[in-house]
This record gives sequence, structure tokens and C-alpha cells, in this order.
Amino acid sequence: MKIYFTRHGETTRNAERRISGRVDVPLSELGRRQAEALAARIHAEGLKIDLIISSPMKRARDTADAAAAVTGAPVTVDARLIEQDYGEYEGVYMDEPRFSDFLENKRHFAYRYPGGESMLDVAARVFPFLDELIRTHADKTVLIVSHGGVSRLFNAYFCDMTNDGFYNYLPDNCELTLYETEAPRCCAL
Amino acid sequence: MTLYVVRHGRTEYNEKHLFCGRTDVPLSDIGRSQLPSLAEAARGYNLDAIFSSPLRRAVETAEAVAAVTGLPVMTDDRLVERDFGTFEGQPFDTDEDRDARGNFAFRYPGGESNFDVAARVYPFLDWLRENYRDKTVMIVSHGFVCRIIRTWCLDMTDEEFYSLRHPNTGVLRYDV
Repeated sequence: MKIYFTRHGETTRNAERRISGRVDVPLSELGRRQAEALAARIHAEGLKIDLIISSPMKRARDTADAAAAVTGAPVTVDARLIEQDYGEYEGVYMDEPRFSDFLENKRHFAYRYPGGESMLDVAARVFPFLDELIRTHADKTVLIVSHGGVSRLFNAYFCDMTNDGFYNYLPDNCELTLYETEAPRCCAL
Repeated sequence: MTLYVVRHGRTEYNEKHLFCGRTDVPLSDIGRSQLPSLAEAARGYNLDAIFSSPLRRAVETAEAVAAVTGLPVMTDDRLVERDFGTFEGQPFDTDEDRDARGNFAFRYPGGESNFDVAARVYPFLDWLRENYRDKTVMIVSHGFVCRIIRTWCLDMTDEEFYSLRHPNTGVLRYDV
């Protein structure tokens, strides 16, 4: 089974360098072009996507729709792929003093962002999603469209990561990562 | 919901400082001698339910509490100890397992990571709170699982997480 993971295109918040978790912001102009470029790449490389599963957030759905337009693959939405809830840090600018508190909190795996989720909380929804995906679509090629916070757990499901590696892990908008697997919790990377 | 989280009584593997995950070892003599005090303390907890890992060291511990409370022991596979893979039965705290011990996203070879444990324990706890909302529940489980249970109940820094030690038959109470 092949699982492609991509992070949605750039959003207006990404462009403003602000933390965005549960706030449902749209793609920016650049984000739209990135989504289209991703779709073009999928087509050019002849990737045979059977199914696209997206986070329920607009920025992910719009990115997924762009890919669906060239692949003809059906798009479904799964709530477990929603971005990590950053709680009180939602909307904080990267040049604000509070951003360093956010980064400190990010170091700790079992410490929830106040009013939000911890890394373990996100694992508790992403890992069961992947177990089920692999059992249900064993011979398929699936594209997942989700977010940066989720991407860390998605990668951790398949690969061993150090705490530092986890902290620094962030795919670019519309970057494509391939995981090949034959069973839950295994990766042939 | 009030939770009383108990780590099973001592086993021979604990005494020899060996990794004891899925290996189904019984309580040692010392472990069995720890049960009466646990049971006595449990009389005062006003328990409504007892859940246990299915491994015998946990079930034996839970049964001591069941005997004084008249409650049945309900086992749940999601409470089984972290799988230590090829490290099962190997000595603890060597350099060999440094990676899996110190990193949340590292699996013991053939085994589980902390994320894997959270991914099964958190849904169990969500289900428990949903179904025992205003009740008092005892959970009998294992060292690593008890630590993950604590993270569901309250926030822990990495330092607090790594330094937590839960003694055999030690009880931690949470109001969640």
C-alpha cells in the first residue's frame, strides 16, 4: 500500500507568519498555485491515486479538490486529520514574545497547549486513523491532505524520530511524502 | 470521574531489573505479600468498578481488591504493558535502549513507542469517562501505561514524564 502525505497549500495565516490550528483560514493566492502545481505533478509523474482523504478544514479540502480534478479520485473527509488544536496560541504572530512560550510548550510531548491538544492527544487520533486506513485499503494508493502538526505524528507512525527531529519536522506546503506499508505500524521506507 | 491508578505487585522480572512487557509473568512472593495492604486501602475508595490489564500480574493484583469490594475485575487489552519487542527479558537502563527510552517517537525494535501506547490508552480512557462519568474507578496496569494514564489526566513536562516512578502496588488518584 502506498500512502502519500501532503500538507495543504500556503494560507493567508502562513503568509502573515501566524500560528494557525483550528481557525479555518483559506488558501492564499500562492497556496492556490501550489495546490495546482501539486496536481500537475501528480499527473506528470503518473501517480495512480485511488482515493484522497482530507482534513475537514477548508485549506486542506481546497488542496484535495485540486488534486481530485486531475486524478479523478474520490475525496472523503476525516475529522481525525484535523490540525492540532493550539488553544490559546491560536493566531499568535511569530515575532510576538508569546511565540517563544509556544515554542517552549512544543518541546514537551505530554503538555497540552492551554485550551488545546498535546502531541499525545494528536497521536491518539492519527494512529488509529492510520491503523484503520491500512486495514481497509490494503492494496490501494491513497493521498492524505492534512496539516503541519498532524504531519509529525503521521511520520512518527511510520518512522522512528528523535525528540529533536520531531520538534523540527515540518514539510513544505504541498510537499509530497511517500510511505509504503504492508501492515499497521510498519514502514518499508 | 475519580480514578485510582495502581501498578501491579512486584514480579521476579522487577526484582531482577528486566524489561517486562508482554511476557506474562506471575507475582513474586514479595508481590503477593504487597496485596493485603492494597486491598485494605481500597476499602476506603468507594469503588464502582475495577478495570485491569489482562496480564496475570495485574489480574492477580486486581483480584485482591475485588475480594474486599465484591466488584468483578473487568480486563481490557488496551491496558496491557508497552511492548518492549526484542528487549523483553533484557536488563533495564543499559545504553542499548537509550533511543527508545529517551525519545517519544522511537519504538523498541519489534515493539511499541510512547505514541503507540497513548494511541490505545487514550481511547480507553475517553470511553471510560463517557461511561463512568460520576463514578469511581480503579485501573490496575503497568509502569509505562500508568505513566501514559497520568498524561491523559494532567499535563507533564518531558522531565516530569521521564522521572516519574510508580512503585509496585502504588496508587495514584486523579479527579478528571
